Amino acid sequence: MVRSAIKTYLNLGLILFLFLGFQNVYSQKVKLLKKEQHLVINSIFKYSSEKQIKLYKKTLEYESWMGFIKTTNFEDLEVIGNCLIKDSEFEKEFNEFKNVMVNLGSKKINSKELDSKFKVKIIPSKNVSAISEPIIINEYSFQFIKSFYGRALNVQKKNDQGNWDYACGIYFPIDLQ
Amino acid sequence: MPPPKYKNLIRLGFGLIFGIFLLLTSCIEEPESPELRELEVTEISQVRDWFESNKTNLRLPERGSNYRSESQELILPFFEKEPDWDQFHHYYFPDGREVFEVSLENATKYYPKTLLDSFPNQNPAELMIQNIMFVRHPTLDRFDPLIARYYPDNLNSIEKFNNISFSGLPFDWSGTLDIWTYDEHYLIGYKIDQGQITHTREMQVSAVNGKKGSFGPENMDEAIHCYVVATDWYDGNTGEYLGTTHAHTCEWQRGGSQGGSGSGGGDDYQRPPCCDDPIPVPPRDEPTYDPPSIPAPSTIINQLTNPCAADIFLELSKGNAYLTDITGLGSLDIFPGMLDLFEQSGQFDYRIQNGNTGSEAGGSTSPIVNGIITITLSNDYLLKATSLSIARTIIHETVHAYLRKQTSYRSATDMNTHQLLVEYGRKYPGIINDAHHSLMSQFILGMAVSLYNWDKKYGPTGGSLGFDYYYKMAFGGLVKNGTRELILEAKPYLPDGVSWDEIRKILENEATGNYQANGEKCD
Repeated sequence: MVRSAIKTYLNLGLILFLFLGFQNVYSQKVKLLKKEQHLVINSIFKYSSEKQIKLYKKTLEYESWMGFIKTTNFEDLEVIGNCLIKDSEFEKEFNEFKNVMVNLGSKKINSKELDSKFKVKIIPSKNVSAISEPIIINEYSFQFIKSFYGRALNVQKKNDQGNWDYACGIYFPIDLQ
Repeated sequence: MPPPKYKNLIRLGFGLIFGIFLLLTSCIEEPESPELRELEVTEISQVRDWFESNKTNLRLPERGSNYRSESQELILPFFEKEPDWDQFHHYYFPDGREVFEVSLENATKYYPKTLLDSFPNQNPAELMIQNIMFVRHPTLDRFDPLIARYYPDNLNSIEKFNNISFSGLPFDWSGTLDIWTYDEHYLIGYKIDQGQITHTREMQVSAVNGKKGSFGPENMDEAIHCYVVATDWYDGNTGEYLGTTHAHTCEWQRGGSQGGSGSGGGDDYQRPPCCDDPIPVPPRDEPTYDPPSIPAPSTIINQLTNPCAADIFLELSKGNAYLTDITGLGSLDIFPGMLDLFEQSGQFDYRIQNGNTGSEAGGSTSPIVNGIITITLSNDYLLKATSLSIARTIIHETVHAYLRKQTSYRSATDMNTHQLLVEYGRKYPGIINDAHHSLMSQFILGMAVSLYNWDKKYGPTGGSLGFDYYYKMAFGGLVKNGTRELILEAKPYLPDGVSWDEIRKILENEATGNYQANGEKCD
């Protein structure tokens, strides 16, 4: 009886130790997004009529599908918005993003920095979208969005008032139904 | 008077139609990707170099300069081909062979006598298109040249070089397309009516009595009736009788519809009196030359092999120009206008086909691949659905294709639609299907009118279901991605007192062709 109780305590202790250890390592390795990056995320969904936006807590690391941005001629990409490759300002930043996107790593989203309609989830599921770390290059911010229903590169631009706003969505090619 | 509940939609619809009209009348040329064009220019220069080095070896030996030889083949006088290398189409046959089709606009032109009859007092040379096709050999380092001649049947089918090619016939083109070998031996001809191949013809060595044939488009599941047409040939310059050939003419009859019954092989070919005398063909050095095999020409968009779906598509494309319309909504028929938009863009990039989609949906619209958007209707769906449901799906997918064209940076010419897409794109970041469906909610009335017009003129009920029924069906597919919920933006357009569940039931009845469906099964 006593042995069994000791064994249980030891097991619980081990689990607690491992959990705390993992948390410690995790918090040391996985960095938080910066405040400005959270502002970008808020701006991406500000036009959405969804009452609740479910977002995965960790940002997307680089994944091979993201390569469509690099392998497709810009004129052949499906772009909704006003991103024009002939706009020298956008072209410069876009090319710079293409060079650094392979370094995308996983970072943590701080739910307190997001608007109230966001629900940050720690478990990915069908109704949860994932986003890559917003990469801010001058006036533009580039971030991939991935959900069960679609994949795209979203581009936000800082307006004259200093607020982030929609610039364009560049869509991963899929069949529409 | 239109019902009051549709007034706002009518205004919106008129706005959209007006936008499309402005676009069509403005004749905006679609800009082509500079990089792509640069690559093609490089490739066409390789074709030109090859042609200049080999053209003397491409003629068949000992054919002389007559229209025909004792073999009863039809042979036009040979002339040196000087392609206009600045005007060319670049495409691939379905088996993967690369083709460059280059203009022979400034060369000697031959045409059938019937062309003169169809267009009296006009210069036939200005009506027809004459090109040379270079088909890259699949294994050897060479091209096989063929001559393609396009003869229009009516004023609407007179095209400019840019708008017509062997792989890109306009969807409503009517006329004859004849293919000749490089040294003007008749190879095969196609009679085309409204984008559909109705006849093929081949010149026979000798007269053969009518029999069942099997040549022609392999993927077309039609009954074939073949017969032989004797044709007397004359020298266009001197009027001298040259002899009689026998054209093996086959008429394609789609299941359930009436095919044309013209002979297709009875044309007298003439050459314009302005032309120089034929150039004698010297014996060539090479021992043999076999012309390449060719597939059927592509009717630029309609690649449906399901006869019922193919008929519905053609009927939808004809629209409602002459239909008496009791609702006052007839002019909102958006379907033909959207197809015209693809054609007017100068680079036709719309295909519709059927196949195994592996999806529960009746149809899907592909991304732009090599400049082409392809709509695929599910074979499983086509087996079950009513014709009314299939017409609805074709309309729905065509709006997707239209929006895709307006989405693409390269082909966005309708800035009103493009701006609307921006509005909905930012509402649904990352999910293009939802962005499309939310914008499509503004096309509900136009889609309903297209469906109503089709049923009224061609459908099984003759438009007797009441406009509300077609209007409800136009909501089909406007769901939030991955769910069965109606997309938010479409909800305000629901008819008073009608629930989405009620509409969904109608859509399901028609899609499965069950006993509650009002349409008839498409089989």
